[in-house]
Amino acid sequence: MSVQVKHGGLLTTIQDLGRYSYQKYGVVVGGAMDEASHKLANLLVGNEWDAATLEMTLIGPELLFLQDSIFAICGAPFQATVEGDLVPIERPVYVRKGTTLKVGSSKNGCRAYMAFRGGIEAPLILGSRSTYERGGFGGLHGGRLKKDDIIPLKDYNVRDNFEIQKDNFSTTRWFVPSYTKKAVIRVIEGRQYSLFRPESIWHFFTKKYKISLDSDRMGYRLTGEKLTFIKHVELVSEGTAFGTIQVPPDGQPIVLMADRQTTGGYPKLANVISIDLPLLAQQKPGDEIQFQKISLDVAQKLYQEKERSFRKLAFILKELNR
Amino acid sequence: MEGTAVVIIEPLGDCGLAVEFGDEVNEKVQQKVTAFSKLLSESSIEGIIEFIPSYTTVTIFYNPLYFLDNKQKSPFHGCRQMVQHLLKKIDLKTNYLDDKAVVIPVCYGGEYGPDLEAISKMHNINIDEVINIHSGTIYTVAMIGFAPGFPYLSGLNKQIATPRRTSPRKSVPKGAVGIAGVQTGIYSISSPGGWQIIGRTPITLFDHKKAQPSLLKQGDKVRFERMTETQFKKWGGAKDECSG
Repeated sequence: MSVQVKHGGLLTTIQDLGRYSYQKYGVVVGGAMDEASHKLANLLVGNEWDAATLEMTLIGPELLFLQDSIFAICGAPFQATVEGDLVPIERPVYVRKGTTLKVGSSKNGCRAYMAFRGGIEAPLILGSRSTYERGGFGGLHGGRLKKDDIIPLKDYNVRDNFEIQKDNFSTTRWFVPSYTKKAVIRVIEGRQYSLFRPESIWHFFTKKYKISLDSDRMGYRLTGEKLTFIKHVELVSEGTAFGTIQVPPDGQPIVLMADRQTTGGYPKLANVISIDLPLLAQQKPGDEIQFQKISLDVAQKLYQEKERSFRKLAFILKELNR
Repeated sequence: MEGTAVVIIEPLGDCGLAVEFGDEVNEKVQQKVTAFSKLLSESSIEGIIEFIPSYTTVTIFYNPLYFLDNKQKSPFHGCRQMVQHLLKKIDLKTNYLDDKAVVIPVCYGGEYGPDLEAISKMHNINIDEVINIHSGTIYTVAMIGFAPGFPYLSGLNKQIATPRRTSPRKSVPKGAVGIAGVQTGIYSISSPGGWQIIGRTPITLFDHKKAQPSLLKQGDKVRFERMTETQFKKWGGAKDECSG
């Protein structure tokens, strides 16, 4: 089972839920930037939600199916066509061998995830198939998809395992955040929150911050009102997390994303809450963000609710796919 | 553990927390970081995903759902309680830092160490003396960070401590040995970087094909040993140069 790449798109990489337990050796976690869309795409084609998918950024790839296959695209509503016919997103789609899929771009959002029934069989490196471009490992060859790459898929019999009906499923919209240009991103206080001047903190929560062009899978650089400190404190480097907002001396915040470095030494103003990370990951350069502060307790309750409903959905889809 | 009172436990996002053992870098704090990391590895506690030891802190990532057990006020409080319990088990009479130093051969100067001469001039110490000072010390791996397998080594003699380059290089080759302030370290993979480069080792510090991909871990001891260019070539050291 495999798919041939005719055109890699702008930045298409193989990702799963990331490479855990090696951060102590400096190995970045990586994984899908928008975990919710990644999971949903997998569930729709009957996979476990940690199977590897294609993460497509801004402009999607062109793929030739060398076998019958079932796929689903979730996340930003990228325009996708099979032999010229528009295919729905957020649905499982059946395609025949020899068919070409072209994924275009999207007006809203930044990234879409394509799951194939069975999952992508890229080699497991340190427990994950995620591509880490800077380190040059993971995925197929340590980098983004390029022309003539062959994406190996796990073998399965499409007809035996899946009832092929065009409109068998549709997804529940409540899982899909609307990727508006004015996203409100919720955060909790960071470890060095008290090092910032009160007026800077006020700016941070009242003014909008724009995502700069230098943003990538490692971090989102923001531009806006300059943030200043009460006093200069030289910190020693320590662990960072997905969504950590650190502020270098130039006063422009940086949000650490999936390919973040494991440690950092800039003051941490805040941390984006887990359930808002998918929404943030869908913002592209030029988009504006509004930050809102909530408490850790509320963040953890929201996390719990979201996770429970996701699990429920996973259970239901699994039953349907049986 | 003695001095438990000064340990600070603070959230890092909604799935992590930082355990801070002190606010300055010294051997005693490093001992505690190493001891606590060792306990974490050995206890394999459910709900803990992984941890990152650094100079003064151990950052723990946990699964909030696991700690939501009804009796807990919140996952953070649940995980903090577990950490406090574990802290009591640290026995500081045991020496957790490894005494046996890993020997890293280094070809100093020339094309392999383009900043060595500048460092020697800045401190007014001749080149051989800089090399003797650098290779005559036993360092402790304070943490692994920045890049896969990159060790931050503490213990650098202040006589040769040098600030980072004002503008970082676009490319520093794998194996480059550098100085940044009072730290020394080794580029485990080729990457951009601003450390002052004094030499290069042919030793591989990071190999993603290995189950333990990093040669060094926090708490290890390291010693540098001078090698000739002929030896370096025989060992198959990386040929690419610093650039940018």
